[in-house]
Amino acid sequence: PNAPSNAIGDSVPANSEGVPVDEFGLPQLPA
Amino acid sequence: MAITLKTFFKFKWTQTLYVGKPPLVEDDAEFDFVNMGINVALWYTKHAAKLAAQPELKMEDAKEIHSCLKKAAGMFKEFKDNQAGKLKNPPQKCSDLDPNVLECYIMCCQAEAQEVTIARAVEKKHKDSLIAALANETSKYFQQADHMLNSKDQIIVGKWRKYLQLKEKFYKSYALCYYGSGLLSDEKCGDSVRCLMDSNQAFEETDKLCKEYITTKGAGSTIRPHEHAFYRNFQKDLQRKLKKSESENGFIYHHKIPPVAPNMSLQATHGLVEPTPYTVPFLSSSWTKAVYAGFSISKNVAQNKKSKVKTEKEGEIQNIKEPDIKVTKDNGCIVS
Repeated sequence: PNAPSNAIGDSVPANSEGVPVDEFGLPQLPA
Repeated sequence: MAITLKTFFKFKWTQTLYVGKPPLVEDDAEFDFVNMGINVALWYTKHAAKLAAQPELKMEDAKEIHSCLKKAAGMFKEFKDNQAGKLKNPPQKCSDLDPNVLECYIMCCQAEAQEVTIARAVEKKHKDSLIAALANETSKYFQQADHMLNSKDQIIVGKWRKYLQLKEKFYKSYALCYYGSGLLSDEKCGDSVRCLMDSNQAFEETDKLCKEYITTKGAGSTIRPHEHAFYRNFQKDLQRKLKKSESENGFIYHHKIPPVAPNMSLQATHGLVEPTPYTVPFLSSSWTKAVYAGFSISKNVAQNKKSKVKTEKEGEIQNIKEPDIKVTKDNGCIVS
């Protein structure tokens, strides 16, 4: 509950359409 | 006439495409600066090539290759758009400062970064439509890069063009293969067979271009692209998909195979590469007029220049011989 705001997983990069993407700009696949 | 530092010294730079030719020499500091910047961008492409040649590529390597190529594209763009115009003399044709050559480098870096993304998308089993769209865009980037060189001396750019043409054709084949595979999933089997047959045709044309690349003289590597594992693995995958599609059409669907493949109505929405923006840093405020005046060129160094006293022996610039990229198990693309 006290995790800092920059904790891993808090911020997922997104493309211009707001779709979460990985470092290569590919959509994140469901786990 | 005032003597300035900007035009006082002579700078020598060898050029990427000038095989066996003497370096360019200019008494223009801007010439040195632009060549230096382009050289750094070239370093990024060569670092990416070195990483890509490793026997077993790790994810971190793939990320670095991707990042290096985007940085290189950004640097080439900055020097083409905002710096090369400041040169005292217009850039020589086919030199690294030639705007068409720089544009070709930009397109090539973007396309090669996308090759990394395509490999990642295949590995992660992304949708066929996503891979087809990205491969199709990559093919177009290589085509645009090639077009940048079509008005240049073909003896100088011929080998590079062969590389760009074989990559254009290879990714056309790749796009058709994944598009055809997606059509089979959508039970459009006749269209699927047509696309995969066209993909096979494009692959055969790639094979021909690979052989021409090897025999074409000029600046470029002595690698044999059609012997790379990535290339051979794709060929096997394509053959397997074509056989599967033909077999399912023969046994299940019995669709008529159209004479022409359907248009690839795919818009790449993911994985397209843009150059990482780069701007030349501002001049330090320490460089004041008083500092420049302190060099007193007209009082000392200029006298030496006038009397032709040479403090340093002028020697030939030796090109550094680069080792060829070896074909290894996993390396997929040829960069730099």
